[in-house]
Amino acid sequence: MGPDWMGSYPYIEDGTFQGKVQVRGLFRSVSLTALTHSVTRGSPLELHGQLTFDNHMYPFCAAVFPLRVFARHEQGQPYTRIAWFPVRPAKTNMRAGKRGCTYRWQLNVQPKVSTTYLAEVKARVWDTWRQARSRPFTVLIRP
Amino acid sequence: MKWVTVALTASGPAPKTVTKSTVDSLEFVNNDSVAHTVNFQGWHCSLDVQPGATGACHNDGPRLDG
Repeated sequence: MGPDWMGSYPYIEDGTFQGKVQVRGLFRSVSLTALTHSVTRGSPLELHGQLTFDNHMYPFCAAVFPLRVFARHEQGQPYTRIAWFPVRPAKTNMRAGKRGCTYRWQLNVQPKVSTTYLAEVKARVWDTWRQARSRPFTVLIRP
Repeated sequence: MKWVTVALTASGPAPKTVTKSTVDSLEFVNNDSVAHTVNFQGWHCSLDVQPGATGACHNDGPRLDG
């Protein structure tokens, strides 16, 4: 019973006394990596990672999360979204543990210039889980 | 999931600030001898909790500006 959306909810008792309920999202994290930090120009590279979340003590993993992958070519430039896809539970990519569920994900890229990538699962206002963003992963182009 | 409890007293809620997760439930307990009211500002919830009773919001959703 609510409030059950992430945020801060003040209230008044008896029209006089103030109180506040702070609602936090459940744990969620995402990682992004690859086998190497350097490739030749235009060669294929698989980005991959894990999406881990608190499954609220359910004995199964069922949630589907929209994963966004961003890239930028130069430091200081804004990231651009290069992919958006749902990460779903499947026998081949899922692991359920005491602390929650982990899904594996992958994305093939062919960088032509040195590029920094990151992955994000955004939290919507009604979301049960908090927003998650990976550490940036830089791929350099070698001659 | 767990229950997060706030006591309604003559000197205000105790504790004044509580933190819960999105899946936890919140309840207001009135152990006082008079009724107490609770009115949320950012959530559609108003409660009138009688002495010895427990009140809870029923997920009516956030109160949106505009």
